[in-house]
Amino acid sequence: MALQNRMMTLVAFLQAQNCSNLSGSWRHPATMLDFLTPEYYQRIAGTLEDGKIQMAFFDDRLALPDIYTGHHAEAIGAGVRTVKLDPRTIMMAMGMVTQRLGLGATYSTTYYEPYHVARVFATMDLMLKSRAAVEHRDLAQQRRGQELRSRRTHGTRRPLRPGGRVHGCGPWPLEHLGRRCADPSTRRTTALPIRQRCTGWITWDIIFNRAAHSACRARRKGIPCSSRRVSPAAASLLPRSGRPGVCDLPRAAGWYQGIRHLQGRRRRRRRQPPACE
Amino acid sequence: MCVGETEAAATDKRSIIEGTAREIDALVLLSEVLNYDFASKPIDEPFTDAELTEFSFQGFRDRVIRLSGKKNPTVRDFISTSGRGTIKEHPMFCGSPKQVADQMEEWFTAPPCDGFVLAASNMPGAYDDVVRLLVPELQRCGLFQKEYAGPIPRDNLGLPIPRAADWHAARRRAAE
Repeated sequence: MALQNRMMTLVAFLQAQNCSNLSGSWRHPATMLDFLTPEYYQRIAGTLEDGKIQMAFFDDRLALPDIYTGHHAEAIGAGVRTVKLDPRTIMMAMGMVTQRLGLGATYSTTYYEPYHVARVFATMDLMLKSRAAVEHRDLAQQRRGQELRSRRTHGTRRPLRPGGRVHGCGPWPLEHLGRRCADPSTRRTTALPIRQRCTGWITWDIIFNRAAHSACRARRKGIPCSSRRVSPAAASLLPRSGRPGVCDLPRAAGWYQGIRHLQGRRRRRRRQPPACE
Repeated sequence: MCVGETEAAATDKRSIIEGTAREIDALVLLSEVLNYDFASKPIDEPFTDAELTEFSFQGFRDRVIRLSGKKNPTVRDFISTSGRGTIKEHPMFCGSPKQVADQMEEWFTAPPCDGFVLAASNMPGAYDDVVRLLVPELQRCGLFQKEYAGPIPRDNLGLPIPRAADWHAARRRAAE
């Protein structure tokens, strides 16, 4: 009898990008391509809640596919999983127009400090009235994450595996902004983020470069960063991993207001990187 | 998941979906999943044993070897056998609402699974179809909830609400 009353769980597997799991879905004549707007996600959220679906779930990735030909141009040209928006922001947008739908996402503990992930999702769970869920993943196979992990563990920008390629670009390769993926046979195109829309990313990139630049300058000038103690105020801004060299300046600078405070002060003594296996 | 008003409508939808895939999708995604540049190899040339050992996802590679029946598959074998970037990659329920609900019920009851993760073939149309056609059918069969069981996913997924210090207790029990 218990088996008779059992109810299915249905979860919608969503992607915050130009296509669904099926990478060619953006070429489908009925696919809507306003995936850079909140309405796109809110529309899906409303549909799922009307259908009493238990949960919407996003997977995540931190890099463009760029192994094929060794460059991301082909992937972008064919629109193969080329855009990935941050799922937690989209979850919030969807949560604001729904009451019951559960919202979950994969989040990387390679790219983001576990402390930060826990804080973000705990906050979201409160703002969504206990509807948020998270899957922690070590997204190390992703090029960007791989590079970061490598830089954190070895203090260098090397791939961990001999075969793994490292992509040095930021969250989005800027030279491709405004380019369109085009499918000649169906004449269907999907816009990649255009410049105006990308202000956030561009700003991020500028901050990234500027912070890196000033760190280099500080080192050139011989500012004895390692001998200075990090002030408690600055220390409170840093992720709490306890490993030296883990909190690199550009990353901290991009996300926290303590940028000025951190500049030139936070570099610890450079350790000899251990040899990559 | 491909649901149509009738079986014929679903088959039509399916052929449109199949028509959206391109070879480049498969090549890009295969290169990514196996961490090997598939552009570096002519499409009909078999991979050597040395090249095959370089692939990072060995289970994926072995599945292609097994299904294609070739010890040294070519790029084309990888594309066709794995179905990467197409709907062949995963099981797909296709048909009228009744047919799809029956297929799902079969999976749901013997041997039992808890539910399904629904991937869309077009957005948001695939989910519209599920909600408009399939969900009412599942509800009629008593297989899916007509209302949310409660305001939070834990209610709807039948998960207990943990108390604040529960994990401490679990850790202590594990230590003992």
